[in-house]
Amino acid sequence: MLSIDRFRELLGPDCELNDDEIRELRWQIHSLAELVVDIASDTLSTGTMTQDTTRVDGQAEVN
Amino acid sequence: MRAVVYCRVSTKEQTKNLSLPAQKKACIGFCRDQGWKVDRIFVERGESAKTAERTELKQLLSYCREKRGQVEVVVVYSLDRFARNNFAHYALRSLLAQLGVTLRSVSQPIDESPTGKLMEGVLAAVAQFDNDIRAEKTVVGMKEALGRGRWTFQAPLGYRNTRRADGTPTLEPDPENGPLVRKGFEIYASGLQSKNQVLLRLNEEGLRTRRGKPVAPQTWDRVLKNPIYAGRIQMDAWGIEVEADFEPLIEPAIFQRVQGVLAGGRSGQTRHHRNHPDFPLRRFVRCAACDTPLTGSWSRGREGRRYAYYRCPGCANVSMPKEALETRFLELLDRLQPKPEYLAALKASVLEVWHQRRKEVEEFKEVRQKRGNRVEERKQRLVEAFVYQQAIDPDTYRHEMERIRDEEVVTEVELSENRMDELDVEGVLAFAEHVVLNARRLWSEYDPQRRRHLQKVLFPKGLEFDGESFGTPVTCLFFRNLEAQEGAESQMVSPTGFEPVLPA
Repeated sequence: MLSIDRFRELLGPDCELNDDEIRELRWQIHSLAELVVDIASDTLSTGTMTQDTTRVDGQAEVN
Repeated sequence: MRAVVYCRVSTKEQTKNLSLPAQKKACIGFCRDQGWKVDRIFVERGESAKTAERTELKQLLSYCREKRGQVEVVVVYSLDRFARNNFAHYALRSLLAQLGVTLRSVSQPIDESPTGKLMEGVLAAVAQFDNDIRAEKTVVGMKEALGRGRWTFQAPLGYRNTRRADGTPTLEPDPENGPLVRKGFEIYASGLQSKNQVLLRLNEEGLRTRRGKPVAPQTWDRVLKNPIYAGRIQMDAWGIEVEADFEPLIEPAIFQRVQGVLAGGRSGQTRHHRNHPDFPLRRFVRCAACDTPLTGSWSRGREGRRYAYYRCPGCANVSMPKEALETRFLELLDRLQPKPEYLAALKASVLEVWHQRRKEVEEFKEVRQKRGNRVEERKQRLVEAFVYQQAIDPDTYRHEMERIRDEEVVTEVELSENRMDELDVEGVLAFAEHVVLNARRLWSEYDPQRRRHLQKVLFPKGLEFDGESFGTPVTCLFFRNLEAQEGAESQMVSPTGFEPVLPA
């Protein structure tokens, strides 16, 4: 997980979250990142994501 | 003759009533009267009376060892200053005797004569008797205090010992560990994370034992089962169960929910029957009326047709077809949009996870590669033994060769299953940016386990459903809930604002 200092730096000086919220956000983003990497490992290596290109609004995506 | 003096008080209160100076003065006077030179004075302040593990006593023993042959006597004011039970007394006496040191008491006539030894034995036994009585009084006092809801022991994790204005001991939430323990209960109560996952997170966020170390799984297990956190003191051994007279860290309902999750065994993530793949929202959504997690199951109609329903097992306020509830859930996901100001943090986190995984894969591959090399060497030796040296018979050769081939295949399979090196990091980052823009699609397309994982990330406290609609959820800080943020659209990124930049 990113260090708290590095994470704070990424949020920038205008971030108004308090320390507890920053820790919470860091944890949530880390969990999301783990999920994304999990799915990416499965999806991109087999190409399923790039073949399935229908967006929820019904438009086709361009790869 | 050279002597050392040992003074001790058994509680901090006694340090105030000048018994230490009095002891010291009496011991020095005693030595002077005996014509002994006082080499050093050891003063033990306010430590436990019960055991011989005392800082100054240890110093005294090592001093006597160091000055072996020079220090000949240890002087105490009375024997109960030295040890409070027979075992400790004779253990210490024996140790001193090995160093050529004897023990003398200012107020009691002990020496190496038969009478002196008898007196010493009697006095040591009296000291133990006194200690036993004190212990009994303490136990009685503790029981009485506990019966009134007062906690008289060391504070459990998340609390700290304090005193009221009238001086009676009590507990209060520890400002550092308290909020983390509370958070741990809340997360675990959701049933979405295992005990260890919750603990890992809490330790990562700074949960520490009294000694400043991360909390062990066994300790965390005891915490989750201890009703003291919900304001109940329970001491089965003493038959005590009362309401605590201090502020509970968590609501009783949360404690009950945690007990339910514990009773169900492992967390919702791995319990197959609780995580039925057909019902990803099972246990994640709670009934708004009674706070019970919804169940999900198939039922059969009169004509034999099967229907999937989510239901509240607590009050039956919710009974909704699976499709209807999940459609509403998808509508909720449609309202989630990532906050653009946090995208840089997401990308950096994805990179971090990516590099970590890659490192793990590399390490794994290295180990497997070494194992493959060893298998190859064994294979060559086997061939050599069979063909060139004729040291083994054909059956043994065949049997061993089959085992080696099994290992070869397993190793190859394991190596081939690690595909991370086929992916480029830019592709993963683009993918990350793309998928977080569309939580609905992410949820819809993936397997039940990942759906549950995603749900947990998006709505850390789960969801409430009243039979018609979801209550306003606590959303992951990374996302903005469009419904809850009405009027702020101008600051948001369009749902289709980021075109996916997937590798061609």
